[in-house]
Amino acid sequence: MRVVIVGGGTAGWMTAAALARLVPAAQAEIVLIESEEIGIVGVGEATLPHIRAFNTRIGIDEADFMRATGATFKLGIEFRDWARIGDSYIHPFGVFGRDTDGVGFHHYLARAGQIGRLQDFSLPVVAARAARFAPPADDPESLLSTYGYAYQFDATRYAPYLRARAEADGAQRIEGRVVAVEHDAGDGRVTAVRLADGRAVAGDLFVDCSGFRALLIGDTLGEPFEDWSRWLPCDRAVAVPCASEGPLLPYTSAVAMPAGWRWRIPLQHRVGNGYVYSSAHLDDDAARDALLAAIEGPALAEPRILRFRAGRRPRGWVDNVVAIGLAGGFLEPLESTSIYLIQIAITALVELFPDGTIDPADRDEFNRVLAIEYDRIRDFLILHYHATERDDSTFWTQMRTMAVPDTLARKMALFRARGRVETYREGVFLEPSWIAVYLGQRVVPTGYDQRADAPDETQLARAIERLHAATAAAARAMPDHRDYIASIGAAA
Amino acid sequence: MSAPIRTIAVVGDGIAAWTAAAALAVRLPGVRVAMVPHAARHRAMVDVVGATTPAALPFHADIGWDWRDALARAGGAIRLGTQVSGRDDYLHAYGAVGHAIGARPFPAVWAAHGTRPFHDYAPGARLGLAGKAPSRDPALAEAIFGLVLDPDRYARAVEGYARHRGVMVPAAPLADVAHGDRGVTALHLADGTHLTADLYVDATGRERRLAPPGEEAAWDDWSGWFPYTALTITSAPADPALPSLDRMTIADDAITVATHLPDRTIHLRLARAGAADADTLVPGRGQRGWTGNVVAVGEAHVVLPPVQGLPFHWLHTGIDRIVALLPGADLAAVEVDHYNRTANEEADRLRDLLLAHLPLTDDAPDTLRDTVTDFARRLRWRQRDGEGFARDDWAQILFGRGIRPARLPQGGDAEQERHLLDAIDRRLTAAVAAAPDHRMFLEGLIR
Repeated sequence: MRVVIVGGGTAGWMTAAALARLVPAAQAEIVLIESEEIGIVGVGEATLPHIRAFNTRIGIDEADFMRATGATFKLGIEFRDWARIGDSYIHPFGVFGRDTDGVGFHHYLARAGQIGRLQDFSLPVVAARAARFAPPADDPESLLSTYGYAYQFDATRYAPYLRARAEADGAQRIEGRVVAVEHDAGDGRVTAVRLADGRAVAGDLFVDCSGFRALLIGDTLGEPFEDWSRWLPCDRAVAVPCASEGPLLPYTSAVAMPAGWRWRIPLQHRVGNGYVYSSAHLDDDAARDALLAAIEGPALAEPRILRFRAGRRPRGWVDNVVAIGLAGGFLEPLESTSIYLIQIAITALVELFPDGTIDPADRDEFNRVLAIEYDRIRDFLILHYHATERDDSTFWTQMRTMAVPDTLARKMALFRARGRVETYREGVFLEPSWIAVYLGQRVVPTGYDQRADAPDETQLARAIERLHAATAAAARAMPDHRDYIASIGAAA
Repeated sequence: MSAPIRTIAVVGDGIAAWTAAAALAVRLPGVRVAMVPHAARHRAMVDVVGATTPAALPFHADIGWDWRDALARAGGAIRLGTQVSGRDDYLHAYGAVGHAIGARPFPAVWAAHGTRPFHDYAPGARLGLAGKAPSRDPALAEAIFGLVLDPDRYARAVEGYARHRGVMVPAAPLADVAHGDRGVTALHLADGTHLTADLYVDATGRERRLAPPGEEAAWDDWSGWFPYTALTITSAPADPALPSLDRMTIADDAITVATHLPDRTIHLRLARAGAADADTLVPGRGQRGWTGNVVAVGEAHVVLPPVQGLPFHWLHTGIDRIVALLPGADLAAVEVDHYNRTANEEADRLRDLLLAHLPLTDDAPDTLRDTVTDFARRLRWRQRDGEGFARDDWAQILFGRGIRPARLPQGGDAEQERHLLDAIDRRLTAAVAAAPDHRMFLEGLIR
């Protein structure tokens, strides 16, 4: 089977590298078409811990990868000014405190009247605030096993890095710009793409990694786009890198702004910045000025403006075209899910890779898996905007008062009642993530699990203080983030 | 903050009611529990067949009653799984089977190169076939087991335990139930007194004595999928070998199950058409286990046939769910709805596991159809919300039914995988040979 990947950004090269490594060569010939004229969006600088499994599976060495992409470690995402101006919390890649007798730690804190201190009981939060980092431990008894980590890296360097691996594993790169798509009038299948120089590249399976253009899935096959901008109205971003000042922070920041939010992603060699905003509430010039006024050091490039729309295509796999990355859907980078969604699509494609002919049941399964992921991330993102007390701009008033999807309204009401999280078996964000964001956004439960009344009050207070001290001590014992990067030979 | 629930009245009798009362009294701090006797109209399956799943062990630990002590008081045996024959011959033993190589799950390794039955790589199945019980050998670490409790003795033991843990028992049994807008308003007892509580637990089994008027109709009947509703139960002398696997035979007209206790064997027959002395057991579930201030446990919510330890499993996980999701005294709708959603998801997954033993029919539930077809196409298995069993439980049943995947997950080095299969087999053979005999194991526990 000949697989033609259209587009060579992060999605394209991740797909090529994974297919070349994980699908036997006898079963798939991998071709990727990209054009040097077309830049890559590359906003996905921040990742989730799942990226490590992806890198490991395709045989990437961590230190080598970090050097090549100027990467830093990431223990979580800081949200500043979201529920109220002046608020700050971190959504960590890890758990809070220690669950006891099947009851979540936050219930015990609530019973002790200290739920506002939850952040202090997350080792990755405390370490991140102190700009420290150490890798987690395997011993489940150790506090050091209570977290994971991801990376912050230069996305414009990740794709070339993967390209070298993909080509070494047999993927073939074709330089060219796709100008037309040829498909069978009878069964609708795409048969070839035509390049600007007249060449036709034929294939059996096409992977649309053409970004927002969605050349195959959208333009050719006409798969509609389900628009979610009524809940997620931000449709532009202005991005600019700047020189970094201060300590190297092992976390990404998302700072709420009058018409959206601003990211700050610390890399080894620079800081990535961007302002994600709603064009209905802010014009481009004002956004650019607000971003340039907010960044900490001199801008290292001209600000770039990106346009997008939140939503997804109901089906990412139609006929013999699989959309991976922005061609399949877009959710703003608030929770660093872009690369995660690429990875989920690739994993599903590898697991469901056609054996000769494409089985419609495989397509359905791919579409089911992706739809669940998108829907659940969507609700999680909306939560950040909606659970706010801010009334200082029309944007925030609109977000605060909008009607949210029933699935989210139900989850929020359940948490408010007794601090319970609606959990699920498929989908990315687990219970600690929801707890972090609910509490960080001032969705505070009015009750708690009755079992948290079991321990004696004094003993509970002592256990809480011991855990607090142990968490602080474990963080203090970690090396400085920048020093740790240098110590493992990962400094660029 | 809404006030917490302070009083709970359990109504019913038998194992379901006393287990619920004991567990709620022990696990909910600051709650007083009363157990109001009400003679059952139908014998609950947990009172007849004492087979449990591995969920019974943590359940007992959580209520502060060591399962070894429960077994010593009630008499019984361990239960590693079920040996199935009739239509197909296979075993289902609890616990993980084999282990993955890289990204290839063990079921794929076996499907590619296995020469012996799949269950031969399941530690519990090997132990069960040899009449052995688990030892500390690491090769057997994955063999988990349930119990077979002697129902009559266990009923007395759990009642004693409940009373010991402070469950209050009124002098007179239930006479009548008064209903209001929000559910039960009072329980009238036979001596003319009455009793009220923040929450009422309906443990009256299929009678559903506390169900609000009209709620009886909100019932999903599963007998269209599982038509074996004529039940006969008999007792026979003990099998001297004391098997730790139930024996289930599945035929077109009837399913039979033999469950082994040290002093007798309980035989049950579930037939499509009943003999004159057969009881009727219609499987299904109430659509709302929790309405107003009444929550149903055991068969008052879901009726499952007594195979694979399902009735006890549902009783235990249902009580756990009440403990874990207990709302405040205001019984907020959002919390009750959440309880009902998760309870129904789990009940439906148990239903699917039950039906997985039978040929897939055209009108099978969609979730079961998807599970079977995903497995048959590509050996995919997803843990759905509410799923109480693991991939390898399903794999043993589906492989056992003769379902083979059309395609396998990518990868896999044939030599390495054959070597793994041989190595597991050798390790299990040695570990099982050295493991204790089942009866000796029980004597060791009870001493």
